[in-house]
Amino acid sequence: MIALLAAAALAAEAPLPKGSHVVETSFTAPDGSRTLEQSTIIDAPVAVLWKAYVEPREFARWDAPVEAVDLRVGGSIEASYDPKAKIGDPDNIRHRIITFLPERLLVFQTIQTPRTFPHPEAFMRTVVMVRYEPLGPQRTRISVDVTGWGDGPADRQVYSFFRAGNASLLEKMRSVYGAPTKPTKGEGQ
Amino acid sequence: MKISVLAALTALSTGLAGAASAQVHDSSFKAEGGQRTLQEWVDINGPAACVWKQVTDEAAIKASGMPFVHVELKNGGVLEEGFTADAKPADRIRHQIIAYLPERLLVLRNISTPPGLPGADLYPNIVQVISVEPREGGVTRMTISHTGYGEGAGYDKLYAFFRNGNGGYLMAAKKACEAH
Repeated sequence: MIALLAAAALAAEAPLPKGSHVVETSFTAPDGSRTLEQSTIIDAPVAVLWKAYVEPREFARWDAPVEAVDLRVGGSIEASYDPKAKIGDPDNIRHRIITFLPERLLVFQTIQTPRTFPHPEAFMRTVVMVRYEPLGPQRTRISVDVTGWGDGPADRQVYSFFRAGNASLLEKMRSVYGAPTKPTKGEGQ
Repeated sequence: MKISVLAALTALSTGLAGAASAQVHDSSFKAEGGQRTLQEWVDINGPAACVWKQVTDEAAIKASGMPFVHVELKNGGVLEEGFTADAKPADRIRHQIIAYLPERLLVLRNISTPPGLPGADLYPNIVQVISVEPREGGVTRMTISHTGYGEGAGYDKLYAFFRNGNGGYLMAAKKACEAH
């Protein structure tokens, strides 16, 4: 996902925090590469959670305050955790959108990281798939797969970083969009 | 789709396209930005593992009638096919494997095709997503999505070609898995 500055490096196989709503199903593919796979179920319509990713105003609610999206095959996503950042800054995160299926799938590859990010080459070799599965009108499973990890020290370090960071972001998304909402005036329970 | 680059013509000539039209569902759409997605799917009475093999396993693809097959299943790998056992590189279909999730998703981009594909120069702009989705009752849904079609005559020709061809490819996978 887009977590970049979420946490210091953590042990690769440490359990996720107690009480986490994130399910981890990571695996080693037949070619020997690893896939970091995490998912969670959120009580929200798929359309809402899709917008949470591709509309900057929604994105700022659970991830980064600065985002620009050019949603097309060959388009881009650019984001920053610095609220003062401007689109085009060299320390922004930039992803190339490989493809997408609205409300179902977003596939991208990172092409720029903040200059302080360790081992950007390891991360830029991976391909990220964000998958949406409607489980009902108000319930959606969202899965994040980061595919193509190698087994060297740099890959392991960055993998650990995103393992913690992506889980944290899924939890945040769940807390923002899945939390019960108070009825507004005139709206019955 | 890979086999259907030329198999479309075969399918049409053998009547497979007619059979396909009844069981292949078209869920194509135009995205907000204006790009078109050609999307077709079929339900197959068989396990996801079988459907996945029809797409990625050299032996299974050869068994479907493709004499030359080479699959290097990894991010950045290739899926290459030829219509004769000794097909020269220029006569083969080559796709780059962008990413995959075993038995669920395969993301491809074409690198080269044999001569004669209408709109061939635009084909590398298209990203294919092949999804394999287990459903209730032992059914697996196989969907081919060709994403990134723009406007213009070249894209229209390419779209029309695969609109005819991908159904035949889906039906071939269905036939292979339901025969087991």
